[in-house]
Amino acid sequence: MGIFSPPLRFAAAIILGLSGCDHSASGGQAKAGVERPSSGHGENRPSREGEALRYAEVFSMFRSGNATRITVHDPWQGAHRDFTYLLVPRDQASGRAQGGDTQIVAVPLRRAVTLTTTNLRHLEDLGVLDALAGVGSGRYICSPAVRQRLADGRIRDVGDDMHLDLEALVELRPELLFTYIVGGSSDGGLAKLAEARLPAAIEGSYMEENPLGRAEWIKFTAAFFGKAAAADSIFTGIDSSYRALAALAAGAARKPVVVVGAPFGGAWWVPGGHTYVARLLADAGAAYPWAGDTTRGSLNLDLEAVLAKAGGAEIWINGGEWKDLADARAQDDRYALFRAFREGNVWNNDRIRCADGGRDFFETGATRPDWVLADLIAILHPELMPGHVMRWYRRLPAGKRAGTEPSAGARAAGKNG
Amino acid sequence: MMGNPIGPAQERPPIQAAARLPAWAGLVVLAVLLAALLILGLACGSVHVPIHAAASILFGRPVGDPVWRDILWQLRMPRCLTAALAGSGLAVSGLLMQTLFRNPLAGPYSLGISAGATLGVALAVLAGAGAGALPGLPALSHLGPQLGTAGSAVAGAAAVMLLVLAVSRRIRSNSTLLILGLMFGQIAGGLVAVLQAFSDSERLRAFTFWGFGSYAGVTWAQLPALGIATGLGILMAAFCAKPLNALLLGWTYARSLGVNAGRLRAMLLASTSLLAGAVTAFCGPVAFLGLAVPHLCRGMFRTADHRVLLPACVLLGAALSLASDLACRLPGGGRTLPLNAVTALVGAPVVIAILVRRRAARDE
Repeated sequence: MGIFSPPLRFAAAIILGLSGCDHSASGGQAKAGVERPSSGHGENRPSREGEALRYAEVFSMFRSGNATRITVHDPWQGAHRDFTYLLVPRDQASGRAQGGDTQIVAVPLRRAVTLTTTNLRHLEDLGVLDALAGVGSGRYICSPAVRQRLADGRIRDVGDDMHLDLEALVELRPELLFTYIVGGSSDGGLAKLAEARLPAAIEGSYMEENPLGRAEWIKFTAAFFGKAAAADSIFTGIDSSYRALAALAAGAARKPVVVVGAPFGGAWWVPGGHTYVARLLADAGAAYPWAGDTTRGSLNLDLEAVLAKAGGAEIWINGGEWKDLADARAQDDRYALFRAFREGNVWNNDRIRCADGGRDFFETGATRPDWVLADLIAILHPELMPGHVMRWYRRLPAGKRAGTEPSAGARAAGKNG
Repeated sequence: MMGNPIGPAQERPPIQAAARLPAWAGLVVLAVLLAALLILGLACGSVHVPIHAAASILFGRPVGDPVWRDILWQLRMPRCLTAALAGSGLAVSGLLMQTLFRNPLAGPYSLGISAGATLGVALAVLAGAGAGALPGLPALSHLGPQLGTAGSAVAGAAAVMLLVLAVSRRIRSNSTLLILGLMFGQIAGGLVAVLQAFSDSERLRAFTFWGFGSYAGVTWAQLPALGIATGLGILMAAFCAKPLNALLLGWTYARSLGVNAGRLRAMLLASTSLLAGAVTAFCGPVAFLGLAVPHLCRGMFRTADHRVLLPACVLLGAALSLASDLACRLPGGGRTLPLNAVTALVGAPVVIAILVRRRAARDE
């Protein structure tokens, strides 16, 4: 039984990973008075005075004078906790007591460490990489700029969230550590960080259900580095480009049915109806078989349940770790029971690969929902996106064994299809 | 438990004990039960297929939704056959180990044999020794890597089995042997964890899911390999039935009856490693079936005769395995439970009952 315990926590992480981290604590609605890209779920929430956000639900931000108050709400599944940060200009920070639950942070930060790759991309987009002293999981990072800094020692790798190199962290003495917590009973090592007197801020963007809400976290990061104006302008660009694309897709003549993911060990984690993936698909003009489902996380289904509901889907996105279709079929020839597979309409987001098998999609995708949407619309409605060059997605080629005799399974499927 | 080895010899029912019902009748009952569970396994699933439609489809007359035929033939059939083969294989290997080590709590899982097989799989998958250029365990289904991974699992199982065998000749205490088996399993688990620390995320993900145990991932293309390995292992066990009966009364007695001890050990080693290794490679480490089924069979047939227990373990192992797999689908709506959760919930109470009953018998 000892063989199970080490990977269990990892399993929780990969299940989140498989679902594209679609766990959302609070609703995925746009704020009142903001035009929404498509009809979705939930009611509009009244906007609050001083609030600077349009879509994000997992954090709120109020600017008053020089100070910014940020509250992160339930940043992981079952957190039932808010975290409040009061960001004050460096020269006014001294003398202010750390009051109660509110953590006072002197900004702009000059020496920070981040354990989330989303955040990393924000720092690069905002041009404040010089303030970054350390990163987590350095070996999986895609960004050439960060890799260069890792190579010449300007940024230090402090290990991954499960094997955090606390000594290296203490030695780096960051003013703030950006971290994220994957659900569970633990507090993700927050107590340990506090003991080591390492101030930490929780990044909860993966809990956002709305793709634009997830991207809006650039405002969160920017506030700590005195780049609020730059973040507002970057986000406005993303927002308008996303909405323009969604409007384009809304005009599509028909909505192709899409199946997402792949089975692992007999279980197929299918993103529920109230998730980031479902929302992107709806905005891209797809018919998602689980769109009517109300699950915020992923559904753990077996192959037959997925086959019965989505076997006739025209498009299959985010399949398994496959080089090509022949490769996939060699793993399990039952994939050919899916129409999209037989017709060669399987698309994976691994066009940009980085060192150690990482995918740029997982690093950059969350920060650029407009680019993700553009790829998805080009897959679903190529006629709407003439000349579009895929950024992350590639259509899986047939592969070398495609010409050989199909198996019994594929033959049976072919007759039925 | 430490100081009081559980002596099976004096508590095990004698070979000649009067059976409650004739052995052949009991076996027929088990066969009927197995057939019923097979039908249930084919008929039940997250997608509702009416029973008459399922029957028509199985007899080659496609009716209703065409997807039903795929669900029955491509998904449920291999899954049920895998469950039956794996259950039989694990139960037989458990029976052999319990007699060989004269230890009621011996089994592929409790003696660390499954952990050895897991290490073999980890070496093949995580370290890439299985010649599979592809990341991840699904590479199992390429014929080359598939046999490579399964072979690696069998070798891992055999290595631990050899260790346990070697140690068992020096150690008389049953509980010490179990603890040693547990320790070998822990060592194998530790090595697996080390391999995991050095493998990339995709391989790790595939390996972790495999570790939960499942019958659903085995395809028609893989079934022949699993079938041949299980069949061969059970066939070898069948040849050992008579010498195993002699072994119940000790090696000295068995030798006096002309049993070639070395050859018997080698046969049992080969059979148990093949069964536990192959099942583990294809279905992941499945707990408790190997340990619990032989006891249920002994209780049902009131005999220690391997000529009865072997076929009984084949039938009941397959039936209980199918029942566990059915229980995995109980939540309904396409949601499934992990196989190991179900086998633990079914098997662990059996083990507890054995311990309590033996303790009570001794205390009287």
